Amino acid sequence: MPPPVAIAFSGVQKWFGTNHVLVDIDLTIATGEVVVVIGPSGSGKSTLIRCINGLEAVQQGTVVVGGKRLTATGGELAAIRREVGMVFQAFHLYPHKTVLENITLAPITVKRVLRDQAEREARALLERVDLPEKADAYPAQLSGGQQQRVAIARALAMQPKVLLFDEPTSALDPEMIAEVLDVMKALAHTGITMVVVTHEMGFAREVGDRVIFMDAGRIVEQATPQQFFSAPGNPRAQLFLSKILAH
Amino acid sequence: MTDLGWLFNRGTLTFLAGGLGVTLELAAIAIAVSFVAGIVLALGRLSRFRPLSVAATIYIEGMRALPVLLVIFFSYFALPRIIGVKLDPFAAGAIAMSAFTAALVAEIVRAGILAVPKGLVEAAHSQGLSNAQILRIVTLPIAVRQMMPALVAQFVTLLKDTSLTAVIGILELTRRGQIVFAQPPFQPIPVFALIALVYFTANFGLAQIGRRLETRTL
Repeated sequence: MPPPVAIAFSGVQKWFGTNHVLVDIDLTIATGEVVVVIGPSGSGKSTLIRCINGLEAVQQGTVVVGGKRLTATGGELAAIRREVGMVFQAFHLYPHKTVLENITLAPITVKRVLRDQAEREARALLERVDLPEKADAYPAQLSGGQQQRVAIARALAMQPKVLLFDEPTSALDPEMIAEVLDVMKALAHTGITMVVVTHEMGFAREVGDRVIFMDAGRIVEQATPQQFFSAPGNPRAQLFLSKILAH
Repeated sequence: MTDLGWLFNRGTLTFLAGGLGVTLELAAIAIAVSFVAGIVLALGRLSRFRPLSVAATIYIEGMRALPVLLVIFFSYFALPRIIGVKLDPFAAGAIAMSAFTAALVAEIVRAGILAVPKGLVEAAHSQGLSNAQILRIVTLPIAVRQMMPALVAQFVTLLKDTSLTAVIGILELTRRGQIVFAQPPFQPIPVFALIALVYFTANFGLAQIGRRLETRTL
């Protein structure tokens, strides 16, 4: 029996004005799968994953997450978002809240978890991202890598079934990239469904179950990392790989 | 001008201190009301519901185009006829200062809200927070901290402008100073120097409070 479907795009089209940013997207992601989305900038990678939690609405076709269709209405959309965590390129931690408050905010306000319990869980998550001593710090007092690890803990605090990563290491210094990738690799082995937009090919190769290559709004190639990195079929993908792997 | 006993005596100083009390009370009421009303007006102007945004914009732009003095006169002489309730000078003054400052606070708040990074709102949305929760927990607290310097400057202006309510007979600090020097020995300089010092101190205190709020976390 195949694992249940976590995310399904069918016939999705999206435009920004006259710019056709998602073209004929059909994509099924299984529960527990780790999918890495790569491609040149402007190819629609970020837009694709932003459709999974309704930060972007699609104009045609359907996106179904956990059996629920994203039709951009208040309560139902919020219910889907509770199950889908997101980690952003620029972290977006709440600057006026401590690390602990950043992590407990959504559990307390959205899930009505009691403060004591939320804080206990938050501290456990901080252990997991290796920042237990930063609970009372403010985001501005942390390095980029530390902020991104807090952002991952914040996303995990809602116990999501799906985690979306939108270029999580692109704003980081090289030496901080590893600490964030280590946390993500550990997560990939927990069985949570992950969709990761990234330029980190090492990550894709090591923990990705599937690589999706996008160009000009289309998914032009899907393959296992081994297949993709050894012999990409699509010429655009070959060109892209030759450029980023050349140095 | 060697003996200032006519100014520094219990009776005169109590009289002036009473004026300071009126000034501070008027300013405190107007700060509280205009802060809340300013946020409501700013949200109204930013609303996607057109009639609300048009109404808020007309109020804000209209009020900003008027002299404060006109608003004070209007509040005392014209408003009671419109609402059919007689207003004493203090109430009329408080309404005028609140209504006028609200329009200016609204623009500061609007700029503050627009300056909150969109990504923070998206992060909150991505965790399932409602629009109202995001506004209350994320957008407004960050906006208010960012706009604290502009807000404090506006409230300093407000505190000074309460002196204009003297024209409708409110015995606030400046008006009482005028009364003091209009009596023997008719010396305006010591009186106004003292009053200037009091205003300076009050506004300096206000600025300090603002600075503390501003630097608390960001």
